[in-house]
Amino acid sequence: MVRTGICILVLFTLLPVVWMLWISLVPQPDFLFTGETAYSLDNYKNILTSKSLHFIDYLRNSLIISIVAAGMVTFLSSFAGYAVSRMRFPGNIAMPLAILALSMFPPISIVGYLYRVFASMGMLNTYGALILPYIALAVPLSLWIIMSYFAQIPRDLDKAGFVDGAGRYRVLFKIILPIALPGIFSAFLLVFIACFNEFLFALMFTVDFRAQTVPVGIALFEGLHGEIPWGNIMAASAVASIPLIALTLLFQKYVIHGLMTGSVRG
Amino acid sequence: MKSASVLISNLQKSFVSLKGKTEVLKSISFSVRPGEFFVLLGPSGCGKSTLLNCIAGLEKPSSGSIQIAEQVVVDTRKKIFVEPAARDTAMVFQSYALYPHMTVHQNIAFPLTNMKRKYTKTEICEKVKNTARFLQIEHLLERKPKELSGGQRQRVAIGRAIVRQPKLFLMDEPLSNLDAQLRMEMRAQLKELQRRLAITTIYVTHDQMEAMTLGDRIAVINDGVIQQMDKPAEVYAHPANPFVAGFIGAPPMNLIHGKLVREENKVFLRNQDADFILPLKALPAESLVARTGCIIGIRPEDILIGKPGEGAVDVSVSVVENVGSEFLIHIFMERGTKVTVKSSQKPDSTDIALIFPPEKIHLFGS
Repeated sequence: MVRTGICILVLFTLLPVVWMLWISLVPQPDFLFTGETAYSLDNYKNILTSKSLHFIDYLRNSLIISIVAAGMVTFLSSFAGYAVSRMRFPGNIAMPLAILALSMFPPISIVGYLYRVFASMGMLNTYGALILPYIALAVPLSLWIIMSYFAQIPRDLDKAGFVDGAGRYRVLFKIILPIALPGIFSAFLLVFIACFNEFLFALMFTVDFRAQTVPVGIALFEGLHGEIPWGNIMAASAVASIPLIALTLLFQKYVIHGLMTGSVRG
Repeated sequence: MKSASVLISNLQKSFVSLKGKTEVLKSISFSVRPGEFFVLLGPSGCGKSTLLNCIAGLEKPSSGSIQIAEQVVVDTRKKIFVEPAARDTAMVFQSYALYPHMTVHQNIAFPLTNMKRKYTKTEICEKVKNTARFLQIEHLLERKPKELSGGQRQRVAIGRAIVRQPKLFLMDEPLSNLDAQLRMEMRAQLKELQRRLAITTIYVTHDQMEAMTLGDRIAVINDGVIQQMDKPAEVYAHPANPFVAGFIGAPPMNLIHGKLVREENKVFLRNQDADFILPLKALPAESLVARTGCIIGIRPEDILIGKPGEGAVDVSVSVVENVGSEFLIHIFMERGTKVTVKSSQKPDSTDIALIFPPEKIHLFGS
């Protein structure tokens, strides 16, 4: 019974992926009707070499924006998470709750105001127009992940560091952060994925291939005669998944460790 | 190694939370001589670890002062507070607090890398190896803490503490996480180590056996107040109050509550269960006045067993425990009075008399 359920779940999850890959490898998406099943890599060649499609530009933009945003978010959240979880100051309980509450504003409610702000600053269609709101939107998530992870690290380690002659910064960089790396990697990866897949802000604040990201770029793919080039879209989606899959595989042991640490009492 | 004296004056510490103010330490004052092994003994929550943290600089006292050797490290009136790093103390924690991402070598070397006097890598390496050799853990230097046993981790924690030759050792229940046998072995080794290094040590524990065997002097703490401070033998033989009497000793001292009553030439401790006849010469003259409340204390090993009619009170034995070298005889009286006797012989009958030698009786006001 359990195995059947697992099989159904796996099929349910993998079916769209398999379908995406299948479509990307056939010249015509209506192959089920025409019966033409000659597989080829033409769609992949098309998106990677065709300058008019600008797929490489979209991919470059997405990677730069996501890495910078995730890096900044993780950097800020690490310091904030340490302060909130380790230090006593007025508002150390209220502040993260307030950040969490503010993050519940739906992005669509602020997109108009942000558009006006970026337009007045001449920042539309730039990396900054996406990196800055991504940082603001992702810090609450990252802060809570990292805070929860810091809370699992025994405070005796900080105390031992202080008695051993280290100051606050040395304790943070030499003792706490190295131990907290799995949690920090988890936060980085989750934020990277969220930024990479974000659509609304990317659609509103960018105009062309100089700043547009992969989700927007793919959505704007158009065929010669206005038809929807499903083959190209699926191939682009498959290629765009590679960085996400690669990062997840690279950091999976840290992610699993980071996510599991809170569930088992040390 | 250098060692320092410690002077604590009127130390108070309160914690403020949403539930209100909790006074953990209430005007604690004591001094520790250079090279002395001083033990803070008390139950969980009595404030002993908070006191140790205040000495280490990990907590700021609400008021009072602390002086280590010639240096005043805390004085709330003069607004002096010296950071932990500048107090030249070392601490061994209950959890050892070894840095899990560092090898044993790196753990022991860490304090040396933080010192104002900069050691070269070669000097650090040499000091670490010397310390490891001294503690017989040289073969463990490249291992991580998770690859070590409890006893090995404790040695590494001690190594990290002694490597920079501090003037004061602080130990917060370092033996609590060990099993009983290892705890006994480490107790002896710890005492030997402290004796060889001759370094002032303040040791916190809730285990009265550890306190009795390790300490040159013990301070018994309860509810943030020092109940008694003296040599272990003195605290054991002459407890200052019922709390100390009941806390020190295994099994603890028998404390029998009642009213002191004088009839003719006899003095009784009378309670709901029985009249305990007390020998007159055991009691100081001023205590012969009848009191509304009184507590008699006598250690289990000091009570003698006789035939009914021979002693302070006739009782029926409830339970006899054979602990190997001796017997623990438990008497549970009808209305709640409990007495335990430690004897090398098992009683022949369940009906016995308890004999209280006069010099072994302790009298406390209730």
